[in-house]
Amino acid sequence: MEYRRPAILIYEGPGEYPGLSEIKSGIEEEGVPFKAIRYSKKASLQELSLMAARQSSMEAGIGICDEGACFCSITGGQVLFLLREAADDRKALRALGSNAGRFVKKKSLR
Amino acid sequence: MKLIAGVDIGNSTTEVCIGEINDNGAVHFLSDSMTSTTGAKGTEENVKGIIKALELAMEKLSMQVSQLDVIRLNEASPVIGDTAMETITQTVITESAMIGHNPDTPGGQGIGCGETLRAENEEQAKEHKKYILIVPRTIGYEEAARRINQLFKKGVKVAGVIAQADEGVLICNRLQKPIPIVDEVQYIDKVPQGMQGVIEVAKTGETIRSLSNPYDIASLLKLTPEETKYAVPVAKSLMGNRSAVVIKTPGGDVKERIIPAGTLTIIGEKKTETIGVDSGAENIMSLAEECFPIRDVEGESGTNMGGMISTVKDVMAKLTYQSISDIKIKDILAVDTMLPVKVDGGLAGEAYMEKAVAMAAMVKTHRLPMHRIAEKVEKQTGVFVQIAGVEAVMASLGALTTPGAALPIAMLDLGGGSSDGAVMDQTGKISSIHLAGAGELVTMLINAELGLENKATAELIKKYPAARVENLFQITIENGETRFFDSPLDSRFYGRVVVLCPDGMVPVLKDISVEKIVHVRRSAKERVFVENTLRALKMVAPMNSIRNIPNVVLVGGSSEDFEIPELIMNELSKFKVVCGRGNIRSSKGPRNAVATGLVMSYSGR
Repeated sequence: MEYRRPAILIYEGPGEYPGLSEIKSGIEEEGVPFKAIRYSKKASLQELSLMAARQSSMEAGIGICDEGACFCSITGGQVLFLLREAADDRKALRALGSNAGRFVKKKSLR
Repeated sequence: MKLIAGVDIGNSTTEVCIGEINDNGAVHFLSDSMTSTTGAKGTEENVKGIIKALELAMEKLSMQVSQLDVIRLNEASPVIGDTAMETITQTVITESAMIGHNPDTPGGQGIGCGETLRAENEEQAKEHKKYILIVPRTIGYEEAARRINQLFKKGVKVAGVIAQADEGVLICNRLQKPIPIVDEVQYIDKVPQGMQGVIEVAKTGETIRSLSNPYDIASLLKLTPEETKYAVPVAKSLMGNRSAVVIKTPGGDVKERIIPAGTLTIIGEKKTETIGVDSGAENIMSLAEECFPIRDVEGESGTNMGGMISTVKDVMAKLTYQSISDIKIKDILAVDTMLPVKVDGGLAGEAYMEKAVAMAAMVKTHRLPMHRIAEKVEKQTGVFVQIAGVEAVMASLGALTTPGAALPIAMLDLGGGSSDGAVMDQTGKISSIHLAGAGELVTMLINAELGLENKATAELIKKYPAARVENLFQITIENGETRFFDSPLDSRFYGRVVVLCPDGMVPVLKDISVEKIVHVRRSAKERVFVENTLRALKMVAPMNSIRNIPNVVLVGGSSEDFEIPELIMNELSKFKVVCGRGNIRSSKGPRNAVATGLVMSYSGR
């Protein structure tokens, strides 16, 4: 039987986002698996992060587009948008990735 | 029929009891109230709080304060307490001999030995030689990995990495061969170059095995037996870490220094002795017992304790319009404790638990100028004001209204600044004592031992239970119970321990487990209140034997605490003594004892 690999999913909007590599670095440093997927249809930042969370077996998703980046978690059926940063703030995006990793490990957010 | 008000002015609260006394002297209690004490106890500022408390109590009866016949003020015990702490040990790392800050996400695993080399000087690296590379923040993880892989290609054996940025995992994931990496080393420029070093990173969930063992440090760094002795404090400091670095510098080591913490001079009735604070609480308290009864205590100027003792005497002097030389310290309570202190010479902001001694000291004088307060209250209310008997007597009378209590009775009044004990025998004769060390000392110990650096949080942890936030919709309380929430908690609570205050949850901003919080909280309460219970009862008990007291009633603010009475009860059950939190007039719990006693004693005249 095949299982979905546990990972934080990152849904990328249609453009180019240099900040994405910072988010990935943040998650990777926390030792949490992740996968980035391009979503080329039009969607708001919240919608992107929610779709990512729904597809993730960890129920944790990040959306990144021109509006910025946002982390979404689904706990007990409830949707929570927890972190939100501007698309160009590299330090903040690294922290967003790091906090998303810490969240799924049930550690406190920095 | 007379309408009497009893007013008790305490350090934190002012309490009132209203009673009706008929011509036969029988008391009928009518009302009571409690408000915060305004100003320091014993000063004219108290009048505001007194009037407010009287108004609140009379309002409940739909009456005016002016309708009272007599207002009885307690002869407030002229006691002031204060606390201070002295650190007595300090860990010093000389010549950057060790890195022990235990970062969250080190890279790789295993042990690596080699000569330390800065990444900028990589061309100096020789083939077939082992190195530990020092990587500053300016070299990003991708560049760092590229350079290390290049060195591997050249035949250079990079055995480990010390990195400044939080990128240990990122670097390791990009290497041809994984090696141990310790990251988040703040003062990377201080890491010495050209010296033999060892780096160890344990697997997730494990702790290091070699760098916490002096013999392994000796084998890895090829130390002589003489040098191995110096490795002992290093190994000790690194125990329990997931990662560590030890560098063999010529004069470098880790020392635990004893800090000269000053002396205390205890002047007793029969003898005077001086003791170094660094000899610890047990020795200080033994000496205090030897010198009992204490006439005065002096601290060395320039130390925290010396400063606290002068301040507390100064405050009392001003309060009683006396000169400071007339004010004497009558009791001290010293407690051994530990607190996290930044290591001197640390390369990554390490903080270690150092030994310290905490102390509460208590000043006593003849009487507080209560008559000034009495005059002012009489003027403002138009009611006759009396300054009635000794606080301990009033408290004992009040305590007797607890169902199940009878003479002879012992009473322990546990407050914020002092712990007071009294024994009243069948004839009504009373023996009482005031001791240093109470709620404020407990808060100080909790603050220090949990490394909170926040007195307000420590105070909340003392008073209320803790819980772990499992996710944003549920918490697990320290007793195991789970509580659920309809709407998500704020993300700042996530993964943290919170204190369940009546007004709402307060997060503890340090990474401390619920178990540790509960342990430190209970231990602090035991070291102060159980200790003082035993000290007080031994001093006032008939023939100084606790077994001669059948009943002990606990009153005062700290007796309302959810754990303190239980801790004391456990201890006293060993002496087969009935002990418990009072229930004044069957309804007030441990509160209002003195105010009640003031009303009762009017009829006794």
